[in-house]
Amino acid sequence: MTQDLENFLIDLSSNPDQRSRFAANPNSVLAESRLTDAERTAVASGNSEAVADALGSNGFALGLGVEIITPLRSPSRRKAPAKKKGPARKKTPTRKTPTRKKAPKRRPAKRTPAKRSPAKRSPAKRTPVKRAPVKRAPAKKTPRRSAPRKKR
Amino acid sequence: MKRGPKGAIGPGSLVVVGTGISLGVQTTPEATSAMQAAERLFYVVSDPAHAEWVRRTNPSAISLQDCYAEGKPRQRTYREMADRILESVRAGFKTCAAFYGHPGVFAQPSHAAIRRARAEGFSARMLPGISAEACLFADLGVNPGAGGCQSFEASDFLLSRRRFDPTSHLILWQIGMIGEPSVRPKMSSRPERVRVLTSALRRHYPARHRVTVYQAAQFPICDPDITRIPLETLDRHRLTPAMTLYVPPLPQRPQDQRIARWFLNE
Repeated sequence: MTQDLENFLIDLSSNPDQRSRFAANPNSVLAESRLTDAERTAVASGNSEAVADALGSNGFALGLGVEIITPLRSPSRRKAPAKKKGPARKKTPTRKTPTRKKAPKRRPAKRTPAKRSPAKRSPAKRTPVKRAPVKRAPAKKTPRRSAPRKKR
Repeated sequence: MKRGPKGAIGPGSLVVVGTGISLGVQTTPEATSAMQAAERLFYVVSDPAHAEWVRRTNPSAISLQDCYAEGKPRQRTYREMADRILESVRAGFKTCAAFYGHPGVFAQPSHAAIRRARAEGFSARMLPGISAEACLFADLGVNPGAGGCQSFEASDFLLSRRRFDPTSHLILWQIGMIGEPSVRPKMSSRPERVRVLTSALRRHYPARHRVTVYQAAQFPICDPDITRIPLETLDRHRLTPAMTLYVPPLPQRPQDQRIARWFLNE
């Protein structure tokens, strides 16, 4: 009977003398009890899971922390409306393909008008190159070489 | 001033307590007296013996276990639990809610009930209890003050790609229910998901790094379940929802000499 096991466990938990008796000689305490053989085996194993099983525990309450995961499900729900928009987006792949085509077009465009591309790139490169040394120089030389700067 | 339908006196109040992990021996005297003094006592515990012990502490005890159901969304279960606790408080009863372990650790309805009760102007407080983490520190001899300690729910650890320091203690909870939205009777981890966890940990620890699969003793006559295994073999073990993974730290990283010098000065 499960109730006998409940009573047995509660008695052990609330009665330190009984607990120390059990620790010293578990078989004699079990022999005095009304437990079934299966319950005695579970208790004698000293395994919490075996005892909980003998009690008929369903283990539902063990997952109290699951709520941590639940709010993180929301992204998958957000994906669902994206599927609804699917038919509208079916057109987009056709749009995407031209965009992909545009990309390779740009590449040859850069290659063929070789004169234009260096003209555009060169000023872009020059500006950072010029600024960079100006910034670096004062950072390194401010304490020691303030005079040479004035010369420049 | 009488309020409520069943003779509840004065404004309602709420105390949330923990019963500890081990049956009947880990409830603090403060929590026990709050349970005994309550006009309405609600409880969520891990097994029928624990439930019977709570009912003996206060015969008016009402289980919230019926809020659980297989396949029922946990969020709904927790909302119902908090609703029922709040109904009692609103009715003017001196209410106590007892959760196994620590009432604020891995227990969402306890926090929700307190927040809502306070928002409605009722007195509400939480008393600390003995958590599974407290049992782990005692049983495994882990001192979180030595090198620090990081604690994550296992699913959240993977899902959110949590960053951690492998030279500190690492504790991963609920390794037996990775990616599971609810608990089923007799459930255990899916090996393929444990392998995902193992590979995430292998980025930081060697394959033979000794980890501990731990479960606190649920009854005073039981021993804690402590299994030390190499990290690479974790997926070969049956892992249940109540099990916890403890990963000991790697050797400490070099100290900051500037800070170390502080300790040399008087």
